[in-house]
Amino acid sequence: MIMEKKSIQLRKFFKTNYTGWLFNLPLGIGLLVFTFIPVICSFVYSFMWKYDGFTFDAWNFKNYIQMFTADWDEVSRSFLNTVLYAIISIPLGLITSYFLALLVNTGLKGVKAFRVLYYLPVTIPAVVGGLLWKDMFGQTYGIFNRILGVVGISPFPFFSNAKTSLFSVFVMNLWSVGGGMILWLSAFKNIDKQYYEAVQIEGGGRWAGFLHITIPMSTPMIFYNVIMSTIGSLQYNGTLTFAPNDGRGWDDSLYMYAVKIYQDAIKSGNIGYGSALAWVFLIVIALITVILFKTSKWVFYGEEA
Amino acid sequence: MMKKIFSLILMLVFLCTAAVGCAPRRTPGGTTVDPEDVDLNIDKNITEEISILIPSGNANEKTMIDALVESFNEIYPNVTFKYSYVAVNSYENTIRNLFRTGSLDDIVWTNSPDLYYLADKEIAVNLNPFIEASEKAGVFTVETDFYKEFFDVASVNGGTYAIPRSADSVVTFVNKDILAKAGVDLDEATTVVKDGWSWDDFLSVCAKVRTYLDQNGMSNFYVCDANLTAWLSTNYPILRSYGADMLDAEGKCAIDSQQTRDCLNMIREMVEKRYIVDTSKESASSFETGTSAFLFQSASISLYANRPALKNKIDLVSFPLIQVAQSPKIGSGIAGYSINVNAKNKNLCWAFLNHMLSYDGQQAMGSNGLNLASIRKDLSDYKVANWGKGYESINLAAYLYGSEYKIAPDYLSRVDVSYKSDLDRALKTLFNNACNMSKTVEEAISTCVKDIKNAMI
Repeated sequence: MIMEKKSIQLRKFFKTNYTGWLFNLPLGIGLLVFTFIPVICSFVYSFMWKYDGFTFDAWNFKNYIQMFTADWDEVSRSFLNTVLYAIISIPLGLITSYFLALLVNTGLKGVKAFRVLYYLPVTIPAVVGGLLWKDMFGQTYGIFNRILGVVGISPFPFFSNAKTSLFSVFVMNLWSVGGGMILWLSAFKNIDKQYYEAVQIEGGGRWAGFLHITIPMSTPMIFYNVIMSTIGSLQYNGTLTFAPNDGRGWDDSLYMYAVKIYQDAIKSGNIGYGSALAWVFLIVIALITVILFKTSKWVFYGEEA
Repeated sequence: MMKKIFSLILMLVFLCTAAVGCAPRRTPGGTTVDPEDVDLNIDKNITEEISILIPSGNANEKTMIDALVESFNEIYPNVTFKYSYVAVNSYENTIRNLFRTGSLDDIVWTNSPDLYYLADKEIAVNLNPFIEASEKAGVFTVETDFYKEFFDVASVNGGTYAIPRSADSVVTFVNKDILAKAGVDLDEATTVVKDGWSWDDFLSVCAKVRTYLDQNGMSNFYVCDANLTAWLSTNYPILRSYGADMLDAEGKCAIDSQQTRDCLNMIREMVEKRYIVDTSKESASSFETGTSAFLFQSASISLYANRPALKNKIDLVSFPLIQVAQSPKIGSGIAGYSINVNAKNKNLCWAFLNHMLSYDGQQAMGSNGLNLASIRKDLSDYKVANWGKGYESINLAAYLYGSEYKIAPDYLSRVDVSYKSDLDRALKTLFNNACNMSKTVEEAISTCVKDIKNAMI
């Protein structure tokens, strides 16, 4: 009797929900096969010592121990490079894209063309962009050094020198600030014009409007961008496409943590160790994200929130 | 309640799928074939398909195998072939994924460094039983019919894991036009630029070319193409010629030695004299564009001889012999084909590789115009054999010069194969730093020691 009742309930459940499940099925299968299973697998692999895709020596924590002992030199170097990159690139990217959005958020004639122009580089695949910049930063034949040569300035080494490599990456990244600009623009467009009118009535100018309306009202987008660019910057592996020495740069100046994961897991085939590196990194990123959320009282979600 | 049951079922499916996906895979049988299973007398009318994995982006390899397939089909008309491709720079990763999913081809293209991977991971068949059976049947004798040194390069711990399809050796590509203008004696009877020339001879020619370039407004050009110190097949033999090595017999780091210092000091002298480029700068010249006098390569002559800047201007000589430690080395290696341990019909695959080694097979491959030196001794006369066609006036014998000097990057035989890419990078970085005048030899060596130690963690 109970079984029959449950069977009817189950049939009813499927009957009322099957359309929704069908719509979700492609996404569900995709997430399961291409995200969840690999995530679980990598967690399992991280406990396999010397796992190369074929066999492994033992189940243990040696991959995790190795990171903080024998391989600490490389791990710490790549991690510090990544943190340095993130610390500079996040504010640089946010501020430049923010001010770019402010510039193109006007009703001036032809401003739409500028919006398209600034956004255009974002449509170019990152790999192609990396190769383009590698070429443009070439020491002898790169377009920048040719221009410098014309005005009598000696060539700038860009990626050819450990001291200038990271700076060159920051310059290169400005190429894609159009992506952030679009997000800011969408935030600005959502700000009710009544607020600015109220500022004018109170006798405030443009600066007051920017300071007291634009910035507070766009803090949710600022927060979103901070979170996304923090995660993105920490996972940065773009150097693989343009930096010498297998993406590590001269003297490992561009050796990012994500590049190390790639080198260890894919190039060297040490999948177990690469997985352990990735899981530790996931924890670090999760901790940073939690800290950012915990300190997000400055975000203005409106009066009701 | 229903939702809970449904979630539980989903969770179980998920965990089972994950467990299946995560499980390590290995071929149970290993790489050895029972000699009794070797059959050289395959029915000529056999109907079967063989799949071959060849390098992508290499039209010449494809046309060469096409020619070989055509010739093979004259004997086995009902055997069809299916090609798939592998990018050379992601070779291991692709092979690993294909093998794990059971979709690796029957016959797999490989080269001398990647061969260690196929052997270590038990992906390729140890071909010794097939070779022994063929020798016993009088098909060939490796020792007398072929340039055996290439078979040695294809062996790992006594097992042969690939068949070399040609004799690949580093030679010196010479721009005769630049040398003649620089006043270098090119008279056949008296010139030093000939097979077996020494490193000192080479440096003396470099000096003349440098003077010529400087006196004719080409001071930003270099005597040698940049790949002399950027390629494992050139820098490792140079290192070994000085008596230095990456690792000792026990696989421990051996790079910190006086021999390494001598070698790197010689390289720095070449940079100082502007024979080769300082790696902190870009080279303004290259052999391809006709603005460097020398290139060290194992590539086919046809890839360079018809370039507009080089037409009728190039010749070949052997790699210069460095006599410092009385054991000069010339870089060599193999490109060839292995049989997948999971191949459906290994005997048929061997019949194909056997045909590749045969007189007819080598002649067929030589007919595609790639001009790679034949592995067969009876085809060594390039003025007669197909592989020399069209280039009879060029000294193609340079490819086959000095069997006793040939060496491949063999340090991988002394360590775990998973160290390969990091060790290769360590050696490349060593030479790169040696050519960087903002660094010292001691800095270059200490970086290399650190890199080798990191590689072998």
